[in-house]
Amino acid sequence: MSGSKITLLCVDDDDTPRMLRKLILQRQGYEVIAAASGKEALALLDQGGIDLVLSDQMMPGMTGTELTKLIKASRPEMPVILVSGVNEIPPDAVFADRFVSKVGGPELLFETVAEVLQAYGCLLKKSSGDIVPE
Amino acid sequence: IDRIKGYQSGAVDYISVPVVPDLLRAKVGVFSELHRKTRQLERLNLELENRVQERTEQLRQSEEQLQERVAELEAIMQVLPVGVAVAQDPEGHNITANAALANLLGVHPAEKLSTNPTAVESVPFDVYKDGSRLENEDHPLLHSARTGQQFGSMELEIRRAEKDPAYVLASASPLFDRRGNVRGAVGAFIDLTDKKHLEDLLRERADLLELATEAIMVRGLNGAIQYWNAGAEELYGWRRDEVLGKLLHEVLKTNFPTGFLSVQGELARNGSWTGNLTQYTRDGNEVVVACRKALKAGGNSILEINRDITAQLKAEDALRRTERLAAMGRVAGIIAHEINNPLEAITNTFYLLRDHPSLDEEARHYAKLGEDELRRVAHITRQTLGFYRESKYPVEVSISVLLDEILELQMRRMEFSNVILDKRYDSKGSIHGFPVELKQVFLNLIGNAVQAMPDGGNLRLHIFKSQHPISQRDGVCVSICDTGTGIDSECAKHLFEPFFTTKSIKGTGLGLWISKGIIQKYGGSIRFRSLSFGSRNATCFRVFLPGAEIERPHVPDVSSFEDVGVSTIAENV
Repeated sequence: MSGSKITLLCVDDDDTPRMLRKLILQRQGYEVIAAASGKEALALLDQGGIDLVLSDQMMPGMTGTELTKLIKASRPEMPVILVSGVNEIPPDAVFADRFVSKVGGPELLFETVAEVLQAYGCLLKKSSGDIVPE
Repeated sequence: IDRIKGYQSGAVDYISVPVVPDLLRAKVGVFSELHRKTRQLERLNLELENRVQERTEQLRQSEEQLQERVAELEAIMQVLPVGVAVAQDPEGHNITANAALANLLGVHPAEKLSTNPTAVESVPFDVYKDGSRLENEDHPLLHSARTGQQFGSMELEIRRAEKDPAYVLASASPLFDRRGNVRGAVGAFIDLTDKKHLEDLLRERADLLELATEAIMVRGLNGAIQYWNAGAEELYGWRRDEVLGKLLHEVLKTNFPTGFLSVQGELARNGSWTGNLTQYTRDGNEVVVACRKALKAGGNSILEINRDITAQLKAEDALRRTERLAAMGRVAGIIAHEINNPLEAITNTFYLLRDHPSLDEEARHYAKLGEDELRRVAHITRQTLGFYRESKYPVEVSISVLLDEILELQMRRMEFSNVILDKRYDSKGSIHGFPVELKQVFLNLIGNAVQAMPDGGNLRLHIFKSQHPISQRDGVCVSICDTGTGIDSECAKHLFEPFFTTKSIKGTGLGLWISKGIIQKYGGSIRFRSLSFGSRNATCFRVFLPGAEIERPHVPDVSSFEDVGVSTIAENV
């Protein structure tokens, strides 16, 4: 884990989407750690070094909003973005900083992440050699 | 001595000797005459005795007959269903009544009906005429007995203690003695109580018919209207006096589902018919009625009760449509999940692929094409399968600012099509909401209006303060009117249904459906009207949104978020 990079925690129970989301965010210059469940995510958060949590909403066991509530209860300063394939905003989505459609495209995701990070005072630092999309 | 002996032995006279011949002749003559008279007297006496006996017998028989007649009359009076009273004196001190009258008046049959006003005990009933009490001397019987006048039929009400009032038709006739003086009167009282009750009942039934909201009619076999209740007046707009005697189905232009003859046939066979009919009101409006017809006993007229089910049918139709849309909404929710998840993965794959260093120019081009197409798919699913709020909390939005932003986007197209803009902002139009959603609504409406005028026209936008047509809530009204192609009545029915479009492949058919959903989520309403004047049309959409004055909860609650769902939107249609 590089100290100079912003580290995102990407949570999704589905392997392929999680891997792809991780890849595109890495391409944006973020350090990305993946978790396959809310439980795993909470454990990783305890290890520290995470700047933002990006979680899927619909997950078995613990949903994105449930995870958000647990995170915000112990770490109010931790930004959380939820992504959802179902175009319905659950009532407790308000606990998350943003609730984003999965089909908004990579650009919308990047924009949202950047905005939230900025709101929390983090700066996007890019290490040289990263591919910068147009 | 001899003389005495002679008389004793039955001699009538004694003549001394010598007999004087003249004296003897005279004496014999007297005695024989005496004897003859005596015999005559005896005969007459017998005759007289016989005649007396005969007369006595006759008298006895007469007496018997009289008694029989009296008993007969008495019996007749007692069995007569009509009340009869006889006043035996002009003052009415002594009145006898028959059983029927006693029963009518609520007195014991043996009771004397003295109506002497000076009597301490008054009779146990009061007599009323037209609602006001009659004095004793004005009672028909007593009036007749006093004045010797005949009394015609008079309707009276008899109020009895502890009993329902009785109604009678009274008449009275005076009785005269030989010298022609009034000596009393006879009165007759016909009980009208049952008739009166029947009348009341009939009147009540007639009133009930008038109270009914259903149209109730009676027509003759020839179709001529005989009865037309208030419900029929209300439903059809025709007044009773306008339609009585006219042909029912000509007045109402009735459309029989299975044909007039088949309805008539069934009516004749079964005595009744039930079904729905389409008819027209006086104003030419079509109404659908649930109709029940019955052939009247005797078969010379037809009773008909029609209930207006036009609104009910419309509601049922709307419900069916709503259910269909709700089902579609549920399907849409499932599809959203099943499509959006892989769609994101594919989109991200293409994103990674597009700039992959191993790709040559051509492959990169293909990847780019794929990515563009995917963006279209994503756009459609975002548009159709639900809504997103771009911010967490509703903010104050000025509709006038919003419209201006939209107009800026539309300006080029409007200039190109020669659309003249007429803006009237009577209010800033401040409401609480989500700008992107609201922009979507008005972009749809303005976009449609502009697209409806490819060869020019007028676009009029008007913002003004208003109230919700039903809830009376204060808010903002926005009307968007164009002079474009117009909306025909067939399109109007389906305007807010999903996938309904007139723009063929250019439109998704979702714009208005989504807009309506958004507006309803805000507690607002959307209505439209399309009018044509010859070749010119005017179409006007009017959107009402509750105003900013209404405090919205800062943290959205469950209900306000549930409104976002596709299924809820469908239910609101």
